[in-house]
Amino acid sequence: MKVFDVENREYLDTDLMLWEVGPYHKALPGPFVLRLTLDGEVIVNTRYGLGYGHKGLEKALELHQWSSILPYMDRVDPEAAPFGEHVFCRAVEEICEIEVPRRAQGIRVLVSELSRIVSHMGFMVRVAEAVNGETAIHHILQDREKILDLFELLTGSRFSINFFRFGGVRSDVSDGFLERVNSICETVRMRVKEYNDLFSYNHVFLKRTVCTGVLEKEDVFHFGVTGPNARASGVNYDVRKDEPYSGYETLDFNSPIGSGEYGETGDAHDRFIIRLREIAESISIIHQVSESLSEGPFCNVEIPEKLAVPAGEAFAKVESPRGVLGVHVVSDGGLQPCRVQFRVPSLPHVSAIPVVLRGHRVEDLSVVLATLDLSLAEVDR
Amino acid sequence: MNWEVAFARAFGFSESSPHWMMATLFLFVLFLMVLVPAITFISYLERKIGADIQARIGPNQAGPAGILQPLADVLKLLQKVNTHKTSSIGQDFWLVVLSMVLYSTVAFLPLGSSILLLDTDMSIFLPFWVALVLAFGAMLIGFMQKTVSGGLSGVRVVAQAISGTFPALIVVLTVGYHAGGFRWSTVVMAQGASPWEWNLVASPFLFIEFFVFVLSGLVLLNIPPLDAGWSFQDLRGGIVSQFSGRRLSLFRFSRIYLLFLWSVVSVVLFAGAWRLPKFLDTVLSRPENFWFYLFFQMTVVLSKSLVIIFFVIWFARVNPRIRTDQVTDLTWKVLGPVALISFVGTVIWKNGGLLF
Repeated sequence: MKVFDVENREYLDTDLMLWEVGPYHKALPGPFVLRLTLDGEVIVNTRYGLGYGHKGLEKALELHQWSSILPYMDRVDPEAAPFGEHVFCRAVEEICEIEVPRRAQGIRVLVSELSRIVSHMGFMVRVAEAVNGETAIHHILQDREKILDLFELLTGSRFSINFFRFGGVRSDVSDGFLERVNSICETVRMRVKEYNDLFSYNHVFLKRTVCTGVLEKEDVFHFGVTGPNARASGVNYDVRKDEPYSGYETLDFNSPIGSGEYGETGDAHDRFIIRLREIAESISIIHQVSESLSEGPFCNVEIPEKLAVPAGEAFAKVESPRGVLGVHVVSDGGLQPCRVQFRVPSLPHVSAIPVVLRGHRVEDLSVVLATLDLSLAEVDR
Repeated sequence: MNWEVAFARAFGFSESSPHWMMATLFLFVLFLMVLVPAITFISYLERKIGADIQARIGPNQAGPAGILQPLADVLKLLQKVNTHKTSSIGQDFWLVVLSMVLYSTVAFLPLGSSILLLDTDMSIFLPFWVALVLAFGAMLIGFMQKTVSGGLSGVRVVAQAISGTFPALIVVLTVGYHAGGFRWSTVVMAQGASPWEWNLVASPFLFIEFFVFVLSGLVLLNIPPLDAGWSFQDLRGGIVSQFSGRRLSLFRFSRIYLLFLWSVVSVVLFAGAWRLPKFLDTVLSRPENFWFYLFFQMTVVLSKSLVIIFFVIWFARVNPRIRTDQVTDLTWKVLGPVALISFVGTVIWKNGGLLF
């Protein structure tokens, strides 16, 4: 907005502005660059630049032995660590034809759903921060700590749990763990209702998110958007239901679909409400699993230190809190993988940002980016 | 017995000292002894109330129960050196001008009947002039910073300021009409000490106008949660992103001062200002009780404005930030028409006998 550009012009310059947001900005969920073309406050065009968090993870995995790769899987999506481990274990178990015992499957589902709740609560905190609804942030984080305490009890750490092993899990659940899980889940269910009163249907929050950042159904198929973002736009695809794994076929739960209750289908409010409902569904899954956890070993296989996975390849996918997380593992029979490639859910979401942001105002930027629930760590890896 | 005579006697000046000297000294004393403690207390209160609402503790390290936290903040900020490359003499000039404009309001701050320096027909409109100059200056500073975020922030501040002036002015018109004049003393004398004699409950239209006034004040002065011009989420603070050190501490002080100013003005217009109960009034208005009278009146005004400030802080902490175009929609499409209808209603209410 060059108003007093006295050297060259004498009139008000009303060309489009170029504004580079990033790589570090409060609105961005991680380091990446958004180059916005603005007409006043309205975003006309967006271009993005990625790669600021590239760690060379996939190359590093080729240099590590099979067993020592598992802690790296936590870092694919640090907020939803179990899913990275789960998908890698499934791929290797498919190559090696290892069968996972029922008890281990149940524990895996339990840990995964608890992590889904944690990730969705983090999502709610980020959305609240984007609209500056400070009160919700602190209350949600306090409740999230209770679930992270559960992780610490089971695995020894809050976020990067290093818990899954080929053929099962690292250790069994301790006495009283399941009762504690159930009671904390009931507390969280009650608190989610309180968040609804405080924040989700707050008039100001509705004004900020309803009919904002609409992701059309065609764009979902065009970009390959999956997970809650796709379901909020009306596309009913959930890996846990359509290609079930690890015992999900025996569980009774729903995948909430967006229906544009307060505005359009696929707007920011839909994406927010869908994840709230998924928390409730995850709590129901946790109750079912803890009641029906079968007796038996927690790990079928004693993994030797120098594990040689037979030659072969496999592609496995899980439903992570952000979408379909897939991994393609290629082994040539050696002690280290030949190739590990990830299909991360956040990359299509980043590609969809220019389409979603067109025509919105600068103030909607933080809302849209927060409700898309991006994880730059997995995009750049 | 007015403030000049009492001030001169108390501080040992001769009673024939030039008026301008007495006024300047009095303003200085008022600012230091009343405003600075009030503002720092409100800033502490804002952090503690916000913390309570958010299940946190808030400042508790600096002084007993963290009461010295505002002082610690200011001392820390004063140690910082402003190293922004786009810092220019133009920005410094405008910041000085804006500070002068803002603190000139101390001259007409209606804190008591005995310390009203400016009790003219225009006093009630001066806060609007101040707010608009502040918004204009903020816009110029934003443009001077030559960043997109600064420019957008300045434009948002001005948009909200202009839109917030409209309903607020109509409310002032209504109150002045109801009270029979626009002087502070006229408006206050039309009210009484007990809540049943306040302007707030004098007519249903004035009740509505009170909320319109407070809300449009929040819009006009860019007070959270209607502070899209200072938004960190998308603009990194806009103009504020280039403030640090002295400028930032002055900016924060002036934000709270504006809230304080608006609350005091709302209290004076609607909530009975400094009116004391009759028995206290007759006793204290004797000349020898000048300082007690002053003290009591100020306490009444400040405690009532503290109630309004508490509710504004609560409203700010709980609600998300509203987008600028939604704020201006609110003022132009909702508050403005409501204020106009209430004005017409008040006119009919007062002159109903003539119509029927």
